[in-house]
Amino acid sequence: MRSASSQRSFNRIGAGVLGSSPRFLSYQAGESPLHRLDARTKLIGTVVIVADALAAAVPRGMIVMYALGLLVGLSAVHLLPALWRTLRPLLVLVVLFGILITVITPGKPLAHVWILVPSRDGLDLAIRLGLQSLLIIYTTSLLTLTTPPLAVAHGLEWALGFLEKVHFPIRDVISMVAIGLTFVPLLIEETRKVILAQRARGADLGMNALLDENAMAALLIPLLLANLRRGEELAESMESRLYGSGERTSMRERRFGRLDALAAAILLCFTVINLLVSFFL
Amino acid sequence: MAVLEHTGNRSLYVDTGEVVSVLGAPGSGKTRLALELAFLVRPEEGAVLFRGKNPMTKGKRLQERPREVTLLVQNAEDQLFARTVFDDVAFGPRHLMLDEDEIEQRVNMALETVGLDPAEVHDRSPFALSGGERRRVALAGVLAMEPDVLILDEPTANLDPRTRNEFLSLLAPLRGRSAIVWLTSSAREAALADRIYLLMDGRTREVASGSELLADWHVLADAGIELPAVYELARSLKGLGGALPAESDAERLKSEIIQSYRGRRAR
Repeated sequence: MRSASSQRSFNRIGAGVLGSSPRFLSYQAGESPLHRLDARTKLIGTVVIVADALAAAVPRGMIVMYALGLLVGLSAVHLLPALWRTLRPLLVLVVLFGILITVITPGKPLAHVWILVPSRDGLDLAIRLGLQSLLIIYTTSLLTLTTPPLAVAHGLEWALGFLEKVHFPIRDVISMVAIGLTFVPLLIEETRKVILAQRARGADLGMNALLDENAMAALLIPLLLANLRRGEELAESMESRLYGSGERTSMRERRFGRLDALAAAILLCFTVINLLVSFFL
Repeated sequence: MAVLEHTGNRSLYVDTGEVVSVLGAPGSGKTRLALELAFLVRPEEGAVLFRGKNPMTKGKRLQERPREVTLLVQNAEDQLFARTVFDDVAFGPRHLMLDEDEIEQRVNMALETVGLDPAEVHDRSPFALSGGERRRVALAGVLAMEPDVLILDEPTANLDPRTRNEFLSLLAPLRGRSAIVWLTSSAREAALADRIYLLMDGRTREVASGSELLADWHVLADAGIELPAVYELARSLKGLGGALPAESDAERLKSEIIQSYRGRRAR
């Protein structure tokens, strides 16, 4: 017997009928220290770690930064399986690109394999780029996994608020992006619905539809129309609730707390050590 | 032998030339059932048989579904996309690899069946039509496939009362051409069918047809199904403590209500 909630979603065309939507890197609620950090701390922290990763020398600086990565990961252990699932395909990509870089970069030849000549310089470059990209993807994934999209938007708004002074509507841009992202699952559902509807009246809409202009129109035009309609409704409903008529305030007061201070201190220590070992040792 | 049949808890069948309605409250799983019957999703229990055979046996792709079964999805007018009404209605037949003459003939027939003048609407943009007309065009698009089985998923949902009645009058010319499965949440609409299934708690049950259907109006009301106003009124009055008999005939129910109202006023 099905539970009441699954019965409900089963009956709604939006969700259950067409299968559940993917949860790629989307926010997962939790109570880990990483969740409790202020979004702004995490945002700046991510930027700092990215900069650190770009600056770190191989291998000394990288060891320091990966140690930090490990520490951060351990503070949200329960997310690591989900993280691994999303990183695994990227790992393959990183390795493939690494091989490509090793082969195409000129330098002191390491060996001769058929017509390919992997070089020492290429290998160094590949390892550095690979380690950098993995750390960057890992850190940003942890950010989006532990921070609700709205909090990320608020953090960005705070960090880039100075752009408002030069009359760039950064707040609106961020709201738009944040709303856009929350509507992605709905867009996926809508796409499935249109595909079913067009197939119901005889269209194939399999992979070969990508090459068929008419089939693409059958898919894209209803989708576009539905989304324009939804956008317009949303804009009206936001305006009717006074969006844009003044400064926005936040319902949840965000505070730089003790945990944030601790995180900042740890980050600072690792950054200093990284710079020291990378440039002065 | 039934043209289309669903086995399992939601068993139902439809014969050639027959109109069968499936009556279910909102959220009872009508849309899912419609998709299953049209071989657009795999049945979550039971199997769907077309002419006694299951065309979607294991390993078959859903793309290979029988084209003889078509579905008019809910709010089908949202799926129109072509530059002209003609192209939109011809969308399905073109996938059947028919020659242009045959396609044109089918499109004209289909447009006439839904009460639109082919010469007038041919070259118009579907987006320039009214909501009711757009839904007619969507129906024409399905009819032009000349299906053996036509499944209609709440074809009158979100239409204004007048357009709804116009749409209901289209049922008559469709009769006899294809077997029709009509999914609806309105008892009044369901009563137009030859046979009626009630869909409730993931099960179907065949119920008496036509005016007899409303004899079960207590059951229907409890199942959350939209009833004609007199029955709704009777139900509300009963809730207020009015001792109304379990009348089913609309006329008698009406006079009962009037009498009891007069009786109260007299007191």
